[in-house]
Amino acid sequence: MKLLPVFSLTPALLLAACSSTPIAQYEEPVDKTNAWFAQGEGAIAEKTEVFSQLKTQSGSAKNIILFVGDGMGISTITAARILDGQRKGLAGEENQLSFGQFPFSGLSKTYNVDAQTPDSAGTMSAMITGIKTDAGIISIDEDVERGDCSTVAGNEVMTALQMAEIAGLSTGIVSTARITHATPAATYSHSADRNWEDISDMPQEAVDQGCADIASQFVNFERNLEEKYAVEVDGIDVAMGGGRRHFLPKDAAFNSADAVSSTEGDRTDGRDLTAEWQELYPEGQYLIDQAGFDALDPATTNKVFALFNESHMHYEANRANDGAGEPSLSEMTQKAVQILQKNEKGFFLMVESGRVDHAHHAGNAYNALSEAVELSNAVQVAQELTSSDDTLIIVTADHSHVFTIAGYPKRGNPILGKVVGIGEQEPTLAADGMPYTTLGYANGRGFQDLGDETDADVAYSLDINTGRKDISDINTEAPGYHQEALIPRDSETHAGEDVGIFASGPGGHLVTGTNEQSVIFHVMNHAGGLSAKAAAAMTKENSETEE
Amino acid sequence: MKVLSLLLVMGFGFAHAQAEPECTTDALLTYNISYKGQGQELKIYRQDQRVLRVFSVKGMTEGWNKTPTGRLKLTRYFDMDKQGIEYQPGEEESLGKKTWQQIQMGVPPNITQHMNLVSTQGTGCQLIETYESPDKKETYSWYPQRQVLLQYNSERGNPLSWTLTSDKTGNFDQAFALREEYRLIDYADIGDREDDPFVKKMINWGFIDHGASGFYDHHGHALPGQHHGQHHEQLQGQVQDESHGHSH
Repeated sequence: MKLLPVFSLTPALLLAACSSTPIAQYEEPVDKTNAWFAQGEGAIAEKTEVFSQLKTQSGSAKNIILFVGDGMGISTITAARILDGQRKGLAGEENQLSFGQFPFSGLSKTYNVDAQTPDSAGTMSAMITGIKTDAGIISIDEDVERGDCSTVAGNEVMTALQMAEIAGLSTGIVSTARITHATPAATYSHSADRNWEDISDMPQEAVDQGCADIASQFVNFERNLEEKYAVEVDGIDVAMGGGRRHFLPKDAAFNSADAVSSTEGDRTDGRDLTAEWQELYPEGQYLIDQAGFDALDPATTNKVFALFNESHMHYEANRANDGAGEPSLSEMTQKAVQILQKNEKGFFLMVESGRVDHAHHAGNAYNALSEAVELSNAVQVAQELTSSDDTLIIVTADHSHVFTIAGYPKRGNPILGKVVGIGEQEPTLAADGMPYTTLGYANGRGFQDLGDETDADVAYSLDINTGRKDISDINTEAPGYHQEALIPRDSETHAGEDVGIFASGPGGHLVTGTNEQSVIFHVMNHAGGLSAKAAAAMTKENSETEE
Repeated sequence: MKVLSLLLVMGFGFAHAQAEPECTTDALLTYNISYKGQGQELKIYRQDQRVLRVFSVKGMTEGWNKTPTGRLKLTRYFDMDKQGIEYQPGEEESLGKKTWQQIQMGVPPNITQHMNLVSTQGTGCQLIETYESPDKKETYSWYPQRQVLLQYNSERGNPLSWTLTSDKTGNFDQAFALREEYRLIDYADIGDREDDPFVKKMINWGFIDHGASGFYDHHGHALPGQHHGQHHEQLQGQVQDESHGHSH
């Protein structure tokens, strides 16, 4: 027998070759009794199970819900997670927001075609059409010139909501911002400028050239789609949010019961679009307040148009200050899903938490995080009402903000508080001898101590106040505390880093990776088979017409 | 000087008493405000539940209206640019607890709580009450039925005086209508409108100087303005607010 070189044998084999002693079995060098380790193992088991049951076939998603946290970057999500946990009595860091438990996640590159740091219009256009475009543009490709109506025709891009509508799904939009604001507007309209919310916002030249304002496009959604594509649709089924002023004439006689301006409406063409909508949909429900919302019965309602405020809805933390009452984002989401899911073909719903962005612009973390927590609540509601077997839910942001979580605070330190280090009880002092908060902004209007004020926008009427302040005796956890900022600016800005995409349901795995933001549309399209279904519906319509 | 001021007020009131105007709070009131030695003119249009406070020198007007639920809504108009910023009701309340009386009158009558009534003149709508503080450092004269301040003087700290120089009643729809044509932006939208050159300019202009906000608490203390305002060049060709009415 040829002897093998000794060094090529492992000790175990050598022993086996030379004796009949059983091979020693090494134990896995891990501590399975450690809670963290056990949690990790459990997570792998879950993920393995999930990935073994992936639904990869196009069209597997009957329903699609896209949640957009406007301005809800990663740092906002992390801080909101901690705040949510701390509000529940936990240390906070170990908490999970609802969508944090989704099995799939990835990153979204948010830049616009012409902007490194983007705006909400170009970003939402990317998400909803599959095509990136310029900042300030609503669902038109990059060949358009912002503000130039003559460059619109032929460059409009069909949106996922429009495809769903043509395909026969029920459709809805919910937002805490104005319904005509960039994010919701991108789902149903096309505009060379996001600011053309009603006709009074448009230059006369654009009106003369035939461009329609965004509010008008909302009301004419059904007609526009039918004329352009020779199809039969039934219009947006659910629309809830703010922005009543863009739908009413500039005439005090048209003021709503809860109007706060002496003349509520802004329209200079004399049109009452709420009345036009009601005329188009006589069975539909037009709502303006909490009472109307509470009376809404999803079981018997098929069309609802709700405008709860002249402009944006109130911040969640400030919602009690609305004279006639406003529902929360999660309440609106609940009724929207309940109404839409009656359609056996399925539904497409876009839900926007529109005011994370506004609170960050005002430099107020309390409101920004409270808005994000409410978005998490809304996602939870949607999950409970639907099944991950047939419903794709995506949660993402359009862009981030210059919002940071910094210093070395100890575990469980109040996220809105001053940094207190591990083992310490007193705040950590910076090199200037003053304490500092965990949360801060790179730019913006800076420090304000407004105590219990729950409206973040109050800061705009105060002096810009950047740089370091002695916050030793200030309650930084109060709603009205605006964090320090470094670079003085009229308002805090968006940030250019990637944002998260979180997904659950058929096709959700496709968000994995670092994606161009426009890929989100393609995920929805693949999962829901939207463009194929729309094409089939258009083909069927046209062939029936020819016959 | 104070005695002379009182005599002037009484004379002003006497002259007006002869015209027998309507007893209404609607009015166009023009004040000369002197504070820290600096003077400015303030016009206050009052009509129903709406008030315009026009600071012509600064090219800026504050528009206030009271909502059906009693909350106060502010819109700031920049008259040179015919644009403005509107606020949700209530924000201004949280910054100094402004009352409707403060907005309409500038110096509210509850300032007289620590004063003594020293004289009355006239009756009904033309009744004038004059108050003086025990230490004679403050005087306050007004039309209580019409809620109109005639004159306020204070020598506490920085000298301050408000003097009514014109008092008209009538219809002021045009003044309000003029500003309703302005392009308005929500101040919640400012953060999304960085591309708008006017938005940048509006925010950094500042609004009203500290100490000359036109608002005073019941102690007669000037409420600070919201910004260190930058003075603008005097409006070239002031906004022509047609006021159809007659003077008192």
